[in-house]
Amino acid sequence: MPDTTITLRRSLLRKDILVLVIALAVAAFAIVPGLGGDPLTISRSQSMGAIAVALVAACGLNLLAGYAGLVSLGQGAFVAIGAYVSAWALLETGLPWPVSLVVAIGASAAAGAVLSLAAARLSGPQVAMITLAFAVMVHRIFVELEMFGRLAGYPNVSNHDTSLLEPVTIGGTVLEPPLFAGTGPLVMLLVGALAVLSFVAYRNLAESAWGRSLRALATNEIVASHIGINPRRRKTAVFTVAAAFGGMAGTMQTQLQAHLQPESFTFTLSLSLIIMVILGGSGRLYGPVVGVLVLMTLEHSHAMQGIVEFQQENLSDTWFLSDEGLTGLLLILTLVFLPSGLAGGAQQLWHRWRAARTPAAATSGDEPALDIDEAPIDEAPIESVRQQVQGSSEHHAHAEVMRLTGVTHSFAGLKAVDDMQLSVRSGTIHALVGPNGAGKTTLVNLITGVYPLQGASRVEIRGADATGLAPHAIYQLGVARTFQTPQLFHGESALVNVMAGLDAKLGESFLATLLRLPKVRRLEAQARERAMGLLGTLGIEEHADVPAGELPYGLQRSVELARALASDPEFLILDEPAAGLNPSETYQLGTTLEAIAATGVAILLVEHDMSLVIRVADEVTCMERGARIYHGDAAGLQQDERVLAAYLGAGHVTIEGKGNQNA
Amino acid sequence: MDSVLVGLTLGGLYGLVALAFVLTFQTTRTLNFALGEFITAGGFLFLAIVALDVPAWLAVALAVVLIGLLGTVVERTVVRPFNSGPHDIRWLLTTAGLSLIMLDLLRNSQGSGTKALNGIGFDGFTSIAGTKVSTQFLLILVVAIGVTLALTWFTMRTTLGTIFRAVAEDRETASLMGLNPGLVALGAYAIAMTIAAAAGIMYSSEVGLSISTGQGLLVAGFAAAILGGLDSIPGALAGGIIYGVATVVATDWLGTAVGGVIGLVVTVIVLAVRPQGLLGRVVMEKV
Repeated sequence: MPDTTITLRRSLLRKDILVLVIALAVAAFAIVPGLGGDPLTISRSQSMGAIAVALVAACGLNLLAGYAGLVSLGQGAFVAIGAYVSAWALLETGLPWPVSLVVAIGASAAAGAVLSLAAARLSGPQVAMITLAFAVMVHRIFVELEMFGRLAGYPNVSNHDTSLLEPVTIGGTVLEPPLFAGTGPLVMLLVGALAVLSFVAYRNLAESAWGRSLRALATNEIVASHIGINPRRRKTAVFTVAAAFGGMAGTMQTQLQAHLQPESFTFTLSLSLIIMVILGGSGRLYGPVVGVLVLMTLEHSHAMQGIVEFQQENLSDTWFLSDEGLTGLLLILTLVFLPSGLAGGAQQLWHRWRAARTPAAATSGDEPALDIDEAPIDEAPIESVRQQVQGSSEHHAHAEVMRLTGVTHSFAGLKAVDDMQLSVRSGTIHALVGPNGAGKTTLVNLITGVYPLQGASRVEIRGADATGLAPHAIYQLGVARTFQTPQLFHGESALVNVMAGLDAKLGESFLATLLRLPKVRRLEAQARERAMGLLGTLGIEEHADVPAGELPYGLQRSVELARALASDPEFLILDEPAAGLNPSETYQLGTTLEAIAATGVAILLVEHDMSLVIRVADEVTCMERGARIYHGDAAGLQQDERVLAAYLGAGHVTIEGKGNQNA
Repeated sequence: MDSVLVGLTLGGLYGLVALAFVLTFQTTRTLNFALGEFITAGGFLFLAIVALDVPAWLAVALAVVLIGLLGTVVERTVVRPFNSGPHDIRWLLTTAGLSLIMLDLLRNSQGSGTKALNGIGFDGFTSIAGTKVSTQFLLILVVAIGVTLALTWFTMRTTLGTIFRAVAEDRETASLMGLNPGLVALGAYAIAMTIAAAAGIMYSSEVGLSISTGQGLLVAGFAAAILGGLDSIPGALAGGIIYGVATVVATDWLGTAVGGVIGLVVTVIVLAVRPQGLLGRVVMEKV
């Protein structure tokens, strides 16, 4: 293992430990002053408990709404399920309390999984609506169900002879809730420990290949599936995880209050959780922390009351906004002025400040990536591509990696691809050319499984039948591709974009990620190392930390190529990689492609730039109106009558030399 | 059988609210999450206008038109700036924020009691095949059917309707053809909020008006809208009727706990099987 990987692992470990220590310190600061049971600190303990509950629920929601982009308006429902089920398990089943806790979290997660059956196939507003409907439904269930005491709450005197749950005990020590003056609310220790645990778990998930896959899903599901993510399964997973966090928050609430009322879990709870996530910065690691603290501090402070009185005195004593309305206003103002939330805004300021301090490093600018003088053959990058890509050796010389036969595809009766055949061999570059609209990209989409195959269409990849496989399964067969317009995750750095290409190959299990086992740290360091290496190979390592969206077009293409290479593919599909590149960039691209092919990778190159095709292609297939009209070498292509007719039209002037063209 | 009939008439009400959702979603791909408050506001505005000694029928007309205008203001200020494309759903949060603001304003200014809307609507019951159903709810059902037919005719047969459909189909291309998607969005919001306010007034004249009137209808309305497919006008009414019938039948047979959630359960199941809803269309994402 290289030294840099070890250094990287150590720095990851140091950061993990630092975060844990800080989280524990913050929890201690919040909890310890109230433990004595001094009557004056009871309300402080209650507030701290409420903050802990909201924090855990908001962290889970951030994974779902912030990272995966599935805005849920139903997180409160899972808090409710966790709270009620844990109370029920404690009161009626006689299970030991840790088991009750696990049962409650499991019930909440299961509800999330069931909901995801409906929600994982939806996107955007439909997800919001279905989750909102779910939240309303769950609230109604707890209002209506006799076994949960309906509006009398749970437990209640008429059914249970008590309105308070027995506090849990650890080794004979009773963990009293923060309800009675003079009694030390020792349950705060449990609540604090659960909050810290949950936060660490949340961070482990967010800052991992799993977390990156959620961001990929949020950006573009089709692209995500091409880097090995199964969109529906991953959505189901994140719904379940978010629900489990909600359930955890619910069990904490049960411990804190010892009594549940359905009105604690109205739609307003769900709404204020999403407001906290947005206000803090959705999709930012510390967004929920900031959002929860700011909003809850505001709600408990005198500031809100001050604003209300100000309105009553100066505007109207009937038409004024109180807490709820002011929260709504705050949400709108956040979206107007701080679209990436407080944490996001702070981060941007920090970046700007750092950029101002070190002007040289940060300007990715519009300057061309390469100088013309620099472009000609530089053997160093070729060698390193060779080394980088040499993960999977042992190629038979030019063995067939992919074969299509009889591929026909119609869109609503319109034939886009007509009985195509194509085969690509390892270590060679097969160019696919043809006029616009010939069906080239459709064919690529058929190979990678974007469209289902019709009729007798058949795709074989590395000897295995790949007919009917989804893109994420095709990825696992060793296929990687780029898109006609670069499809990067714009908010993420170039480095993270490249890492996303190999995340699905790392084989990190969910449990290992959740617990951040040492293996995960090792794989993470290796992935980072390799991504950095690929960026270096393509000569763009100095842009590693720049958000991909801020890179000039040519560099975005390079980053996308690096992402495709990151998964160590056997078969690489490039959809018009030279489009939009200047001649020197195109030249460099050709050199890179040849170097990649030389390592044994099979390349399918969809391209319009004939100079590039003629220079690098070992084989050329030309398509017109969905059908193959030429297959052979590049030299033959230029002579072929049908190809010339396809490009220039029938009755074209045969290009024999300059003199004849004018005839 | 009784409960089916009662459910049918209730379905008309849900269908109207669903229509308000569908109209804005069809044309702008946005929804007004403050729709519940628009329903409620329609009722209170009617009361305020009647208090000025305006005849009841005129007050209804004024109230729904003013709420329609408020809809256009909301589209322009709270929705449009927050809708930059299919992946942008900030409008959802801004309208949810608006919902909180409007609800709070209504609570602070109107109090939380229930008020009666006098001078409009029908009293009593009508007998259909031996079952007594509320005449007012029957009226609402008739209105819902009428509005659905009118809107279907409007979008299918009139030039303006064709423009609406063109914008619904492809905003960008439509604007390149010289159509103004902004105007269409304003129009859709105006019509949708007018319908919502009308539904609110008709409903509260039967059961009374409180600040939570709209919220109660909101969930049923949009469950009905997703059931129908969110972009289908007849689907809204169909969804409303399914929701209404399922709710009333389940309440009669299995009690209020089941009745209160059955419509939502049906919605979740339909979505799991058919994500585009009963009458909706599948739209594929492109790379």
